Amino acid sequence: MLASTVDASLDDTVMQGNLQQNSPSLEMCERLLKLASATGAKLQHCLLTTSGAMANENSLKIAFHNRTPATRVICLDNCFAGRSIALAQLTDRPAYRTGLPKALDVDYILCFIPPIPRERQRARFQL
Amino acid sequence: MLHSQELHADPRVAQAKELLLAALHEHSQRITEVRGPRPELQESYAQMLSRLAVARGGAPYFPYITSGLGNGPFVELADAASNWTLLWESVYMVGT
Repeated sequence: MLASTVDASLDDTVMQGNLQQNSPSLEMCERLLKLASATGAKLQHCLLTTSGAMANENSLKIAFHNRTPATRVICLDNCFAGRSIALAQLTDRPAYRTGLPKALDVDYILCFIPPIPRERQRARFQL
Repeated sequence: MLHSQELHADPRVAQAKELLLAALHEHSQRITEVRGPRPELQESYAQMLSRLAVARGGAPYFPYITSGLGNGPFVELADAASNWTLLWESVYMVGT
């Protein structure tokens, strides 16, 4: 991991981001897509973000763009989506929203998760 | 002293950092002006931009993939061209 970190640091001496892409970000996107499709996910595109919350924020924006004029979100009960102002509205923890302005209208539905067979609990992925 | 503190204090770590910074400074100093791409890299660069557009689901706003190395306001692109960085307030100070 140290060697990878050194390589990554040497590749990170300039401003990078959504407007200024770097070669490793292309490689990372392609590797993630390959991994996702190997396990059956029908994911064709990849957007790199800085955190799970930012990934969820961008997912929400894409969903709203695609479902205009929808303004409500359906969430599973007991879900955790993040703690940003928008995601705190989705996360099923009312205490996280104390003092925050309402950002979105959310409806919760019950979530039933069947037990995962023991042999599937040890699935491992290699990057 | 914690083992992690001893690691950080190990002279080999300091020397490794000095060597890396010196190598980084030496190579980045060669990027000193705006210049065009190398002809032999133009096709592969175009392919990288196409692959990026496919992976992202849309072409990048700027046709711009860096090599990861720069010097002050200059950035080396993956086709060996060098250009001005687009966001002046975010120029990294190499070696500091």
